[in-house]
Amino acid sequence: MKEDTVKLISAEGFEFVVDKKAAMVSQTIRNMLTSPGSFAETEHGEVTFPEISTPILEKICQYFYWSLQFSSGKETEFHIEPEITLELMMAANYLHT
Amino acid sequence: MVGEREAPSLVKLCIETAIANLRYLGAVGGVGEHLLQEILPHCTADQLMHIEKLSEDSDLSSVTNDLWKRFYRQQFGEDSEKLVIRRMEKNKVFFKWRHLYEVRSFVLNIS
Repeated sequence: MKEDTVKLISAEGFEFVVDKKAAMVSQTIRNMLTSPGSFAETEHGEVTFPEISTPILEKICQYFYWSLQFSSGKETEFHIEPEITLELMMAANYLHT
Repeated sequence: MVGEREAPSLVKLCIETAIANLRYLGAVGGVGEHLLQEILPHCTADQLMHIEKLSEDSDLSSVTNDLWKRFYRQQFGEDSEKLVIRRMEKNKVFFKWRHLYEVRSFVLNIS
């Protein structure tokens, strides 16, 4: 896997390969990736989230890229489906995102 | 750089979405108290009752008790609120305001 990407793995084992820069929008993932040795998984550029389901993790990855775009000046709206709001909020809270 | 803004956090966006869709909110068990503090004060009494009934497995009263006290005052007046507080203090029994609100509504409905 490329140096500048990271693999995020959902509760069901689904893998999302995203740019490190995007994943580091999450303060929690940033801490994992920037404190070498403290998290075994991150040495292989992989982080598993046993409590985050695939559709939620997918939405979070979309948010990472949206957030990067937003801060570079492309201020669009990020749509959240009402039915996933609470689950997404709990995951986002955990990820400090 | 001028014109650059930090993106709103995903937590913030979710809170806004939840507030905009309160009538669809159901069980909130497992949601952190600091998040509920942001969302639940925007509920009407009916919405809050609905959410608490569906979340019966988790006690939300640390967040909702003050909200129910406010609903009680709005619905039944400040005098009634003060009377209830006085009686509870005198008897050293304290009921949750949600319960007081429900009982008072029920009594008004049958009388």
